[in-house]
Amino acid sequence: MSVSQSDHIHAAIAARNDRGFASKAIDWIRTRPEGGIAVLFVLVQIACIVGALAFPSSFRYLSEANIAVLLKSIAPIGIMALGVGVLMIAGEFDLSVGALYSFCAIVAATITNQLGGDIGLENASALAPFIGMAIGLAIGTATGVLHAQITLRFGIPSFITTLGAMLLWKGATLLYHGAASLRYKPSEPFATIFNGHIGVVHASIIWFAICAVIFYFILHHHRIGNHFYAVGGNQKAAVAIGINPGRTKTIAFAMTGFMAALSGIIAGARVSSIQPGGGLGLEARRHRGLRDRGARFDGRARLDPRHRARNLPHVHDPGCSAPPAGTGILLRDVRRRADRDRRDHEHGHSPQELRTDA
Amino acid sequence: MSASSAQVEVIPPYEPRAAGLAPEGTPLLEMRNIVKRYGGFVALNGMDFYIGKSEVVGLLGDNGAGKSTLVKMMSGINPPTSGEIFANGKPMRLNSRADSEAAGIETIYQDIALVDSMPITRNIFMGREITNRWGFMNHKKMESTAVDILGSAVQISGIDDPEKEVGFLSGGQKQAVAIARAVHFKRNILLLDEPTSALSVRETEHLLAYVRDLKEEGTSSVLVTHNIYHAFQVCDRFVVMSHGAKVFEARKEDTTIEEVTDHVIRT
Repeated sequence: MSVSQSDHIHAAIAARNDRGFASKAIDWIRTRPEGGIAVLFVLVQIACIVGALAFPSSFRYLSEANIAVLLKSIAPIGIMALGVGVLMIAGEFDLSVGALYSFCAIVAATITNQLGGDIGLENASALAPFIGMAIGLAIGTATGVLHAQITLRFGIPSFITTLGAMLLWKGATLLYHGAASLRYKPSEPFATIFNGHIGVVHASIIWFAICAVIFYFILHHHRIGNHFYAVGGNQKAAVAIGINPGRTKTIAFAMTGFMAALSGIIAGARVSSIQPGGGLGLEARRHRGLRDRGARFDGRARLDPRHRARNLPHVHDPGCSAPPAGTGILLRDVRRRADRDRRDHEHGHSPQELRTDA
Repeated sequence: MSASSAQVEVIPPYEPRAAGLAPEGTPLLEMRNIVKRYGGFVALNGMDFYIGKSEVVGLLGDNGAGKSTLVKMMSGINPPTSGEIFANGKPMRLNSRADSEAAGIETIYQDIALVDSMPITRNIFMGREITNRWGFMNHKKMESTAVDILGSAVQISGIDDPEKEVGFLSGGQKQAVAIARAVHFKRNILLLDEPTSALSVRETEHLLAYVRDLKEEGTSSVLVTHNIYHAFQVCDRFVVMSHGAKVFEARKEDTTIEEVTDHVIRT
């Protein structure tokens, strides 16, 4: 009796493995939640590519510079999202990642500079940036553990805990460093490891890819990943079966803090400076085109002296919050003009022509 | 018919406590004078309970009598406020799931305790994954074991793929998965908290037969149920609870189905 039962299961597994590639893919899209996202992503890409081919002069989606910048702006958000994603799978939420992003990067940069790790110095210390980074990552991890302890020991919803923590770390950043931006140009080999290029591919994207692979293995092939899913899916069941939800969630919070810090340091190394307000709003990012505009500046900021004029809070960083209304208008004008100038410079269009599409 | 002429038997609100039976020999698990308080509410009030070797105990009583509280206590997720617990005559504590696992206790929970968003295989091995020394899971081995236990423990209708997410299963299938999991990991004692509530007639008969087989193999069980006829098919001893205490206890050969039913109703 038992034999016949297992046999029909074996048959079903064999049938599942025998499906063709196309039907496997269709089943994946239908049954997995990420299937729909993948389809949407492909559709948007197709639309953009078609648009780029149809209007090559006004919609330069496929230009090398645009692709490089797109990839660059994905990396810091992606690195942070990996950590936040794990925490959400474990059933908690962290609103403070944006504040942690700035705080840990500021700490790492300050320590790097204090230990003489600036590339501009003669005899710049090669070790200093790594020490600064290690301390920044350690602070991120410890902060995650702290958030976990407050959330779990006092039974406060993580939304509330980390809402408070967001303001706390924002304040800590200002207390520690003030509101001015901080130069962060680490010495070699740190600079190459975190700010080098392979073709259009910036080092931050490679780090994102490495992290994504590591997280895939943790979530889907490691015991702790199974525990994340169990605790987030049905905490009572996880407890009943002997999983310690406190320990599991603490690990998830720590991973989130670590990834927020890593994201901040990598993003800081890329733009060579850190804005104390830079990470705010990253926790609930709205896509208002800020990314595109800001990121385009990033691509050239260090080469083009005109961009120095825009050493204002949110120009360097793609993810920062909007400035007050008045500044906004001013900035928009400054940026439009700069944009136009640069395009004229690059493509030889007359200013008149471009004014209409701005 | 006037209201005054209606013949309604008055059921007393409380039955007196019963001392119950003394265990013969050293029981596998014995709990003495167990009290469990939730704030001001007393869920278990001086409860005595034991499970002998190769024995099936029927735990009966109305809703809210404290049956599930007692089962959760024995599975380690609900530590007692006070009282003594002995395993094979030695004092022990049941403060965590690890304690009960060490005592070889496995539970089929009333509320199933499965994660809907995870596949059947991952649910079965939740918290007890087969891993290598670095903690990475051996998916192949877990899947083949899952196929074996799904096929052998209870005959489950319509489960044909251990990679299916539990959320897609029916209530009875979920219960069957929970049973298969507990049966696979049990060593000494299997606690069944209303295991048949969502099962078909065929599956119920199969499960009850399986509990009898386990007894032959030396595994004791505790069956919590509202169906006294099911209990009479497999149990050797009946314990009736009311308001967190024991009100009746008898061996199967010393009682009748009517007497047990009467005690359950009267509580």
